[in-house]
Amino acid sequence: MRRVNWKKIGLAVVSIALFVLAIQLMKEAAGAVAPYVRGWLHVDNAANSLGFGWLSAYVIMSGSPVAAVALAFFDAGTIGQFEALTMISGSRLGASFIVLFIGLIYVLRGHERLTGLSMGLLSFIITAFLHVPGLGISYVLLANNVTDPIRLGGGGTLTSVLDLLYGPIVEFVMQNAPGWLTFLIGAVLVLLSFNLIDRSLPQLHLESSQFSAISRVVYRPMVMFLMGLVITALSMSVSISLSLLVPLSARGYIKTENAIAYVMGANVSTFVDTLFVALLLNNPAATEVVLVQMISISIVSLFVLSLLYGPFERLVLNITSRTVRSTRNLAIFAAAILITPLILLLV
Amino acid sequence: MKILMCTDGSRQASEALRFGSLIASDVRQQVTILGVIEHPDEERKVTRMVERVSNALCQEVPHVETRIRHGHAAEEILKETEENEYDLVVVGSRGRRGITRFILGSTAARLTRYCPVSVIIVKGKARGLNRILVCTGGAEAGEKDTEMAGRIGALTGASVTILHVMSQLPLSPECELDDLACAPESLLDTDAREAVHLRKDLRILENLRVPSVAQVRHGLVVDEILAEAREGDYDLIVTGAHVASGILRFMLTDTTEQIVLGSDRPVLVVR
Repeated sequence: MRRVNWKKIGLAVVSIALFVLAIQLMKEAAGAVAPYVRGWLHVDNAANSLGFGWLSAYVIMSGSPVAAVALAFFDAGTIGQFEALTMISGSRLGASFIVLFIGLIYVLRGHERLTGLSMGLLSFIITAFLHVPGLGISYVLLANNVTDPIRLGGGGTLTSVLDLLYGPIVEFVMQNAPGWLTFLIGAVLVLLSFNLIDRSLPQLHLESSQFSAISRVVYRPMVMFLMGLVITALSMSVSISLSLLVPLSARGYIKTENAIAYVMGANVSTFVDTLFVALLLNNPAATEVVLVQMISISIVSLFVLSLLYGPFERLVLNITSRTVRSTRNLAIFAAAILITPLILLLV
Repeated sequence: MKILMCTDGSRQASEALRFGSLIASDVRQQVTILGVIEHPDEERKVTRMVERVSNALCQEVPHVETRIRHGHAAEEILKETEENEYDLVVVGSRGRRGITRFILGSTAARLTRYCPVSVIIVKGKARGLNRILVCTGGAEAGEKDTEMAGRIGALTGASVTILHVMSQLPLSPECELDDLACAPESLLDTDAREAVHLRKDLRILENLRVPSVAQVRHGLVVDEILAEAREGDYDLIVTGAHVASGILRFMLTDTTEQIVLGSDRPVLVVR
């Protein structure tokens, strides 16, 4: 019988408590940072909020805290619904760059370019291909109020409980620190809590012997899509979800055909933690923004999976192999994904 | 080897009979030519085709039998294989795709899925039988495919290439996947699972005295198999049948059907 790891359970409880506190702090202080966001960073339209979310995820090397900040800004009225939408999408693009960035470090240390960068490139390209049309669909759905019925709030009871538990702490911080500092403390706590949540999750590793059958077979794209979706929703982290597959990737236990659909599924449920933030903010419009993104990415994914999966696989692999083929191509790709969010931020 | 050669009177069926004859003419056992009449007005055409092929084969093969059945081509061929014992079925494929295939179904696709014995789906023009491409997934099941290809190679004098497609992906930069870009020669020198099976396959063909080589490609499995078939100008692709049953049938991609659909040349599906 497996022993209960109380240390990890304790860590999980602490990290969730910290996470909720962080959201409460950001919620209360977001209004105070509005002048900085609009005045200094000029985040006042959908394009520059996309660039802002994208670059912010690069800087802090994580997407979820940026998405949480986007919702806090939206809740405070600092940014609008479409800006929140694009900022969250930007955070996903920035987050998918992280795997690529780690790969680049490995390449600089002398690893093969193909092995070092393949997964990062694949992950980034798939995310970009899903989010660009996904943003279009989200915009249409929101602009036409199609998704009004899915506006969900945390409920009055949740708000009362949160006020009771966190109210005194939030009030204390607000009284003793300026608004911008309170927001910063909240943002740092979000980052810290995500880090702790990652550590508290069990190490998911499948031995090749447990999955020997998949060494010879290719799963249907839809099956891998659902697997990616469910495992990422449960682990609340794309990187942990992908790490589950790492031991299987050696010697053909996971084929390229399988991995692409899996990453597509992970792109849908990667919003689960952001949805949780929206519920904690008890803001139905924020919940709608997150759900619309999940729906839009699902629509794009299902369209690709059912009608265009073969050409999509080839396109993604073609871009990946062309990018790693030469240092020049790689430099162009790296420059493009750095310059694009910068240009967007300046729009 | 008992061969069942099938025709529904179509142009592609005559290509199938021509291709089947390449194997049958060297078989010292029984060949059955089955004509399936789907519409009454096709009776004469089908009967004539069966007679013509039978007469041509009689000069080289001692036991040639002919049969005529009425009904849906795929269903009648399946019934024939259930009622009588065969080692190999040869049919033509009209190559219906898209909506036509969805509405009418495909004889080739049905046989690929349900035929209890190995079946050759003849697509394109039957030019000859000099080069055979065996697609192996690097496991025991693939040895049966190699054996079948070897038997045909031994009968017809064709050479055999064993192809394995490496489609793994390094999910982490730490992965040591040196064989991601390796050539067959360097892979065969290793103790990798694929190398062990490739060596086994080559030994099977050596025992059958069939000239053989191993080939390794990297990329998407079906795409690479079809590319190798085209680039190497092979006359026959050999692949194992999709054996998944129960829940796995719904979970796994039927790569065999994808190869049959995508190929522009004959495909042997081994059972």
